[in-house]
Order: sequence, then C-alpha cells, then structure tokens
Amino acid sequence: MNDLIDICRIEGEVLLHGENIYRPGIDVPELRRRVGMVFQKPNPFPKSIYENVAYGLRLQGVKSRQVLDEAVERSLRSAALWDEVKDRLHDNAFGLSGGQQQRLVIARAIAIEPEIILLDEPCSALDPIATAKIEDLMHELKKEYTIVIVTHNMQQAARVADYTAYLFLGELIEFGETRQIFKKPRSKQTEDYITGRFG
Amino acid sequence: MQQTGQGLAVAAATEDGRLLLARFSASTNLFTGETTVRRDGYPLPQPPASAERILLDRTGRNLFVSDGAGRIHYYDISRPAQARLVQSVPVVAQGERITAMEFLTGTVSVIVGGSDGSLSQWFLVRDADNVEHLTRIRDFAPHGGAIVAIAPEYNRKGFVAADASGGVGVHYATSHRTLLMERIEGEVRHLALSPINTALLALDGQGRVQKFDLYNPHPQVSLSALWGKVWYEGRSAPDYIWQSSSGSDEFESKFSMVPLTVGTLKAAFFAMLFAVPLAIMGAVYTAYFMTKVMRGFVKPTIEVMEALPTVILGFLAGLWLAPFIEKNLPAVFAILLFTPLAMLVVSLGWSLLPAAVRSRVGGGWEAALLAPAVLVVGWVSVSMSPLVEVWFFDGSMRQWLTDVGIAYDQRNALVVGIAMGFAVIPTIFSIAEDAVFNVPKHLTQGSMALGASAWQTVVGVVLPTASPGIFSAVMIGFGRAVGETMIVLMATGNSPITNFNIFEGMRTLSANIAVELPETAVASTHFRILFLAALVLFAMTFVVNTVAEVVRQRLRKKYSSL
Amino acid sequence: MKNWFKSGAPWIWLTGGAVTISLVAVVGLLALIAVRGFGHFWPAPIVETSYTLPDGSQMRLLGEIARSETLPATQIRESGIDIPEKERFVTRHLVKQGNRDLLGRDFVWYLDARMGERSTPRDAVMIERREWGNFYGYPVQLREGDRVVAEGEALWRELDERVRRSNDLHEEIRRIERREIGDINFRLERIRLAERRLQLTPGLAPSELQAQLEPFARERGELDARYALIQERLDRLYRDVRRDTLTAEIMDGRQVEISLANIVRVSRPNAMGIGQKTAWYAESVWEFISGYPREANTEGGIFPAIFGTVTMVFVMSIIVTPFGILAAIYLREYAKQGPLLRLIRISVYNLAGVPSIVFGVFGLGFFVYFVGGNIDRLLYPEALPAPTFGTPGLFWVSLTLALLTLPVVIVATEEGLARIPRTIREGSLALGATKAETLWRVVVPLATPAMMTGLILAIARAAGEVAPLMLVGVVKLAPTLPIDGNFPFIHMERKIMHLGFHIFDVGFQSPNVEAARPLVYATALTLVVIIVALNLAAVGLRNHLREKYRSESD
Repeated sequence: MNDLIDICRIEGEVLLHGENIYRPGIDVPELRRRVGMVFQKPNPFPKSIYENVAYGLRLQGVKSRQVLDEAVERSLRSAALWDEVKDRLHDNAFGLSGGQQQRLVIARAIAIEPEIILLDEPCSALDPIATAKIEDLMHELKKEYTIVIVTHNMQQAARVADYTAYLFLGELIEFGETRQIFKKPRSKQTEDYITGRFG
Repeated sequence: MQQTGQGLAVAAATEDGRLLLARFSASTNLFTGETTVRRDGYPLPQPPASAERILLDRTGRNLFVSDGAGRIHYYDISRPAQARLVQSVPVVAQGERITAMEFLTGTVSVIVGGSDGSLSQWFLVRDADNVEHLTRIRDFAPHGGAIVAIAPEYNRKGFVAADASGGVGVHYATSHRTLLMERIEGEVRHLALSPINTALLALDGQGRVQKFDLYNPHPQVSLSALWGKVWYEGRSAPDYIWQSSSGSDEFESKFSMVPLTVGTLKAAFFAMLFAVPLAIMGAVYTAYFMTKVMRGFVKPTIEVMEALPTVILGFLAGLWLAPFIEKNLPAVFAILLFTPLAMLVVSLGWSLLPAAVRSRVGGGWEAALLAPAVLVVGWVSVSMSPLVEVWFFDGSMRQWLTDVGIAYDQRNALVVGIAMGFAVIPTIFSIAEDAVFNVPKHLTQGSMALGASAWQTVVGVVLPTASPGIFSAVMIGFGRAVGETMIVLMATGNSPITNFNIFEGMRTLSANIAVELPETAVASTHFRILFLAALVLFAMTFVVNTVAEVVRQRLRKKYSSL
Repeated sequence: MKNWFKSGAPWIWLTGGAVTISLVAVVGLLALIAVRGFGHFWPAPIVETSYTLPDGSQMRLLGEIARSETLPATQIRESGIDIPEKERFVTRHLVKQGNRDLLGRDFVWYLDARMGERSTPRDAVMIERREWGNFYGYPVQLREGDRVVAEGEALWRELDERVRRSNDLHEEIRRIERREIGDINFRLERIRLAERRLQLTPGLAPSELQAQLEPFARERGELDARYALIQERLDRLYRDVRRDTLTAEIMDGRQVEISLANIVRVSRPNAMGIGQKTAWYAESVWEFISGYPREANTEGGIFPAIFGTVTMVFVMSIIVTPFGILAAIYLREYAKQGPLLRLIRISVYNLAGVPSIVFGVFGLGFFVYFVGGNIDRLLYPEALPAPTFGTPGLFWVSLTLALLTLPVVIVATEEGLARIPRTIREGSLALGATKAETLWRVVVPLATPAMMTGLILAIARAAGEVAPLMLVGVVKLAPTLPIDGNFPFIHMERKIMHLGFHIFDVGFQSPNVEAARPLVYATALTLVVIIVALNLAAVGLRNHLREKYRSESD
C-alpha cells in the first residue's frame, strides 16, 4: 500500500516466504492478493454485502454462482457475520453498523484466501463491544491465517497477539513473544512505552 | 463613350479644341418592330487647355476631362443642355502631366497616373452644401516611370498599372494596398484583365502581346481596411463601415470590423451593467444571509435560469420585451428608480415592527419578504406608464426622445442588456456565490468575535477574501456576453452602427457570423473575413476566460491554505 | 433611523432584493411562456360586433379578440387615425378575423370606441384550413358536387363526418406521397448513383459497362411503372377528396365555397361546453406535437422539429459520451499531475467558455468543408459535384455539438471521480485488484451517476443551442426526416429541423409574425419543458449522489 503514498521512504526488507516484497519488478497485485488488508476505517464498496465479499473472487475470474455462494457464506461465517446478515445479503453494505462493516471488510479479505491478513488499527474507529467481537474473530482466524495487526492499544496487543514487534519512528526496536515483550522487554525504550512512561 | 441609363452617350474633344457630347437613345416601335435611333448633340463649355482624355461615368451625369497641364475638369452634365464646368483641379504635382486616367469598376473612382509615376484615386465628395467636389482620396505606391496604362479589375476595386520603365503594379483601392510590383520586358502600351481577374495581357510597343497569370484572390483585406477608417466611394469622409454585400456587382464591399467589435462590446457592456450588480449582490446575500430552506429553492431556480436556451430569451426579448418597453418606456425608468427605494422602505418598515413579529420570521427571509414589494412596484409602474406619458411627454415618450435628438430603435441595447443580462446573471451568480460561500468560516467568526456586525463582516472580511472569485465570475460572465449570439440576433435590429446609445441597436461579431456565413460564397474574401471575425471573438473570450480561470485556481489554492 | 442605517440592514435588504428580482424574473418568464404556450390551444370565443368606419358606415366584424391595449391617444393619432380631441386614452383590440384570402389581412386593430354591442353567436364557425390560415364565418350549406347534402342544424353532423372522410383521404395521399413515392425516388437516386459509379470506374470496357448497366435500366423501368400506378391512384384520391364543398358566409356578407379537401378541422367554439373544449384542447395539443408544419411553418405541428432535435441529441450523446468519459478518467486517474495537466485542465474549462458560434464556424470550416469534402471525394465520387457529406447535415451538427458539450461531460465526470473516497479504492487494491480492475469494477460504476448527470446536462445544453446549428446543418424546412425505412435507416447526411431554430425562424423570419406568435410560444414552451425537465433530473441525480457519499464518508 505504501507505494500509493508519495512521501514514504523505505529501508530494510520485508520477506514473504523468503522473498523480499520490495524487490523491484514484483507483481504488486499478486502480492496484495496474497496479503489481505483491513484498514482503520471500514471501507466497504457501495455495493451489496454479497458483492462486497465476492468482489475479490470475481477479480480472479470466478464466475460460477455456486462457487461464489459458497465462498461468500464461508467467509461471512469465518468473520462471524453470517448470522447477522444472511437474510439481507443483497442489501447495500452501508446499511451495516461500523463493527459489522469492519467484519464485512475482513470477510472480504479472507474470501480470497490470503496467506497473511494485515489489520491496520482495525478497532480504532469502533466501540468496545464491536472491538470485542473483532478480537474474538481474530482468535478464530489465527487458527487458519497469519494475522499481522497494527495497534496503539497495549491491552489489545497483549490480548490478541502471539508475537509482538515494537516500532518507533519507523525503526524496529524489538521483536519477540508477546509474553516476553510485555513481561521482560529487552530494550529500555520498549519498557518505557509499555509501562506508559511515554506514548 | 459610356452606356448609361438613358442610352449611349459619347463625349469627344475635337481637334479645334471643342468639347462635344452626344446622346443616342433607341426606341422600338411596338407595332412595326422598327427601331429608331435618336441623336441629341450638345456642345460643352470650353475646357481651359487642350483636352487629352475624357471619362464619362455610368450615370451619365458626370464628365471628367484631363488636360495637358495636369488638371482634371469636372463637368456636371445631368442636364446636358445646361452642362457646366464645376471645377478644375490639379491632380499631379506641379510641372508633371497626367499620363493615364481610368475609372475603377463602377465608374465612381478615377485613378490618375502621372508622368512622375504617381498614382492617385479621386472621386466626387459631397460637401456640407451638397455640392460635389472631385477629391483626392489616396495615393498609391509610386512607380519608377511615367504611368502609361491602367486597367481596372472587374467586380472589385483593384487595378493594374504599367509605367514607361516596364514596371507593372497591382493595386487595390479600398484596402490601399500595392500587391505586386514586377518588371516586365518591353514597353507596355496597353493592359487588359480577364473578367475574373486571373489573367493579364500586356501589349508592347512592338505589337507583341504577353500573357501573365495573376493569383490575387483576396486583395480587399489589409489591416487598415479591417480596423482603420476607410474613405469609401460616395462617402463624405473616412469611416468605419460594415456592409459586406449588395445587389450590384460594382459594389465596394466594406469590411470594417470596428462596428462589429464595438457592437459586441456595447451589447456586453449593457448586459454587464444590468447583470453584475444583481448577480453579485444576490450571490453575497444567498451565500451569507439566506436561510438554508430558501437556498434550497433559490439555487435550483438559478440553475434552471442558466439552462434556459438563449433562443428563448432572444425570442421573448424581440417579440415581447422590445414592444413592451417601447410602449412603457416611463415604466422602465420608474422601475429602475423605485424598486430600490421600495426595498429600503420595506426594510425600514420591518425594523420598526415589534421584535416579536420579527423573531418569529427570523433572519434570512428578506428576499422572500421583498417579493410583494417588487411586484407592486412593477405593476404600479406599468399601469401608470400611459398617464406619465400623457402628463410629461406629450403622449409618447418615444416621440419625445426622438424630438430631443436621441434616436430610438424598437430593438435596442436596453432590450439586449436586459435579455443578455438575464442570461449571464446565473453564470456570474453561481461562481460568485461559490467564492463567497467557501470563505473559511473561522475568518468570519473571527470578525464577528471582534464585535463587527454581519454587514461589516461581509464588507471587511468576506468580500476582500472572495474578491478574486467575484472578479473571475464577472470575467466569465463577460466572456459569455461577448460570445452570445441568439439574443443579439433576435433582440437587436442588427444594424452595424458604431455608437454607445442605449436606445439604438448594434450588430455583434457573433450575430454577424450567424446572419452572413450561411449565405456567403465558400472561400470568398467575405467568407474568410467571417472566419476572422470568429477568430477575433475566440481571442476575446479566450483571453477573458483564461484570466478568469487562472484567478480562480489561485483563489482555490488560497482557500485551501487558509 | 440612524442606527438602522448603521446596522447595515438596508444593504442586506438591497442584496436580498437582487435575489428577489432575479427570482421574479425567472418565475415571471416561465409563467409568461407557460400561459401563452398553453393558452394558445384553448378555443377562444368568436365575437361578432358592428364597427363604425370613420366615414360613418357600419360593418360587421367577426373573429377572435387576440389582444387588447390602452394607449395614450397621441400615439394612435400619429398613425393617422382621427381621435376626438378630448380623448386622452384609446383602447383598441387586435381582432383575428382570419380569411386572409378574402379580406387581405387576418389580424387587424379595431378601436374599442367604434365597436358596437358584442355577441358570441352559437353557429359561428372556425375552420382550420390547409391554406390561407383560419376561416371565420357562418356555414350555409354542404354540397356534394352540385347536390346539396345538408343545411341548417343537420349540417353539423354531416359536416363532421365528411371532414373526417376527407381527412382520411388526405392522410392516405400524404402517406403515399411521403412513403411510397419517396421510396421510389430514393431508389431511383440510388440507381443513378450506382450507374454513375460504374461509369467512373477506370478501365471498364464499353461492352462490359453496358452489360453491367443492363439490370439498372430494367429496375428503373420497373420503378417507373410502379410510379405510374401510384400516380394513377393518387389522381383518383385527389378527385375523391375534392368531392364535397361547404358554402359559408363571411363577415362582410359574401358567400364563399370551401373545398373540404382544404379543411383540417372545424369547430364552433361558442357552442362548445367545457368538456368539448377540453377534448378540443387535448386534440390540438396532440396535433401540435405530432403534426407536420403547414404554410411556411406558421401553422400545423412541430413534429419534424422535435424529431430532428431528438435524433441530433441522440447521435451527439453517442459521440460525446465515450470521448468525454475517457478523457475525464485519463485526466483524473492516469495523467501525471503537473503543469502540463494544469494547462490541459484550463484549456478544457476554456473550451466551455468559447462562444457557441465559434464552434459553429469551426464545424463549418473544418468538419463540413474539409472533412466532409474529403469524404465525398473518397467515398461518394459518383454524386459529385452535388455534395453528400460536404454540406451541412445531421452528422456535422451532432459532431459540432459533441465538441461543444465535451467540457460539460468531462467536468461532471471528473467531479464524480474526485468524489469517490480514497478508502474505497484502497479496499479494492488491498484485495489484489490492479489499478485498471479497481477503476473499471469499482470506481467507474460508482461514478456512473455523475457521468449521467454530465450527459443529461450536455443534452440539455445541446437541445437549447441554436447559433452553431444554423451553420452546420439545421434548416427551416427539411423535406425528409433523418430516420426512415430506407437503408441505412439513419441518414447522417440529411439536414434536420430543430426546435430552437424553429422558434427563431418562425418568430423572426416568417412573413406573418402575428399569426405565428402563438405557435412560437407553444414551441418555446415545448423546448423549455424538455430542458427544464432534463436539468431538474440532473440536479436531482446529483443531490441524490451527494447524499449517498455524505452518509458513507461520515
């Protein structure tokens, strides 16, 4: 996504299955297909719920109605949204609440079966109840997918993550198991942050 | 010798120095089919010196005789029996002789070639006492030797002249141009042109004839012919005139762009005079004072106003408004005067109402409250109009205007101003309203916080901030008024006059194109000049619009940084 | 008072007044057009009265009162009419007395003071004729050949029936002339062109040419034979339609004969009830919308003008939509933002400000004479020197208008694209869509309503534009419609009629302005209704769109 923002500067590398994703000439859409992404604010398309979820599959040329139906149901079930919307699949997605929209966007992301799901502050625009639902969902999803979540919320990181990385001003300060990071941070900077001395 | 309306006329100078005129008229007897020819001979007054060349014009009224001393004698022969010598003018420099003299087509202008190579154009000009004088109109680029032959072009006012040194020049009278100066072999005795002016024959001293191809399609055009004052044949002074065609082939086409350009500016000026105050004041009010509910009604109405086809505005202006104004001239002035007064009266009355009533209506409804006042003023003005005419203007204000020396056309600039003003109000309004409405709120709030009233905030903060936007709105409106066609076409008499009288019409560039282009011969000079008119129009609007657009983009940047 | 002035209130009220004036002007204008336009079709009463001429003699007046006005007496005196000195004001009426062929003038001003008692006789009749405008008078008898068929009260039923019959016959004649003869002429012309093309083919041996021309000659023979047959049928119909005549008395007492072939409709407005009047009104409106013009466009309907306008706008939309939308997408989505793009954008806005007549001049010079002339030379050499595309016509009108409305579509589409929130694009990209996929599957569908708005505005603009059309292909009277049953069905090279130009032509170039005036108002009303409806649709669509994104972006 970063290449959509002009002022961004990149150093170091990010490896996906041993391949640097910043390597020039990489197939960006293919990369994005392999890495699902969910944004801070829910951004459903102004289409029906069904079409939102089916969008990624349609991009890949899936036309069969049956395949689409199944994928939509599976994704919505995995996103724990199915029961809430199954009777109004063809209503406009804007009719959903913020939390539902966010889960819809997650459903949309997992419909194309990515290898990794990147969640960028997925709960910052949501109320606590919706946040709880999303977090439950993450616990469900991490059985099948690698989830990368960006958050400013210590508790949330402690609650949902297995591993945690601490970045400060664009630099990676520390990376390790969540328990270790929160209990015995190796870096002083990390410690200051998690204990609330700054930030 | 000349074929005139009254038959053939022949003028001749005899060896013994007499000047004679003979007229032949043929009449055919209806019963026998026999044709009889009558000859009337008249002696003319004696010329002062020996006559050299005699020219008789097509009307059969004027006779020009050149003599050996470089003078032309002008005879009025409209009544041959009492023919008289009106004038003897020296037409070449002292000591030089007239070596060639020829009419241009139409036999109005005389081209005189001198022994010094000079070439000049002369024709009769009527002075204030209605007496005609042979007048020098213009000189052409001189040749290197004495002019020996002049051949007028057909159907237009050009001529070819040859001089003794072998120079041949192609000249054009109206545009005052010398198009070609070429040297040819041999000593030219005589020149002749083909009827479509594409071939030139020259007879030389050895009896040889040389043929030249001429490519001279558009000699009528020059900077001075298009934009300067030109002394046209038969006019008493140089003037700006647009008159592109007439029934006769020998007509001198008058292609001055000045009346059209002035007409365009005049129409646009009166339209702006009407539209700018209304549109800008309306925009300020709508953007700043009006309630939201009313805005929701006003803005679509203005959009509909903008979308109204100009052909409809033009037709209403021409068929309804023009006669209406002519009939109710006093009402127009009354409305102009009393509407603002009535508004102020309503405003004062409103401020005197008890606060309870005022607060129930709330602010921002002034425009709606004023509607009855405007309607009443309009109605009263129109119904009083005949009475006013009877009381003050002897029953007809129009007649009164004419009597005090102001020309009045039914379809005039006032009508155009109102109709075209109506057409540009929405353009100006929308852009200006946008500019005012988008003035950042914190600016106005800051001003209010300092204790300024709403109006003071508008004058002190809003207008200065939005002024580039308003300027660009006015420019775009002006561009639209300049280019508008149908309204001026239908609401003016389309007479190409050059003045700024509000009670007379005009012809604009655009209307001129619309009227004349469909009827012009393709690729003729006239056709091309109409394209030039379109180019002038394009240039005018292009400059205006570009300035407006650049200003607008600057403003947008400014707002985003505020 | 001083405080009131200091508060700035008078200024606020004055600025408010500016809005009021503008609104009053718009509403008044629309009302004026609506009242005059709608009012034209309502049957006006026929008034009979006596009128004293200046020499003291009396005459009978019969007709509709078209307009009345009161003027200062001097203005009347100036036109040479004698008014008693004590009178200061004079009321006069413009009477539509019709019968242009018999009385010389159909609209005449009469002074109120010289009119006698007015009455509305029940049996006064108004006849719409195919020639010479309306007829006003009293019917006397109806004859078939020399035999009197009906008189008195019985005449009405009979007249109605026979007028219907003659109208049916007339329709039939018109249909034959338009369709069948038009068809034959079209084919004959095609044969002529085909022959000419063969003759122009280089290197064709004379014998070969002869052989190839053979079938054409045969076909031409067949068509001529068919033409003769149709002509015979037409002659019979013409005889038939002239069978009946009506004798009627006009206002000066003369009895005249009117062939029923010349009658379009007959009415007795004074004897009509409100129901009949309404029916008449509806019929008149329908006639106006669906009928062909008569008498140099001053009578009859405006169907060809509506049809021409619609066809033109339709062809223009087909041209402008792809160009405008693609240009906007390129400018907004693909082009690199920079000084060049700024320049292009300013040019586009500038294009919108170029006077329409300049587009017309450009269309004439470039499209018609240059492009059209070359098309003719390359594709239609057999028709030369008569131009096919090298002369103003439907295609050039549409193309010129497309150029004229291009900025409208571009600006609206760009605005629509700019309104689509960034998050939606990101959402699509995050799912692995390429830029093109995102654009075509998400962004463009979302911007469709904006494009529609642009197109509707373009259509509204095009429908009302007149000045450039006068140069590139709109004429006052087109002999054929641009779409008909002959291949290729839509004839791009034909000249068309247009509502706006119709208004200009009928209102300002017709010899009988007074008679044409109501028709011009009705035509103007039609045009205004179309354009206002289109604009309101566009405004509605845009507001709907704004609402939609507002709720989304919150």
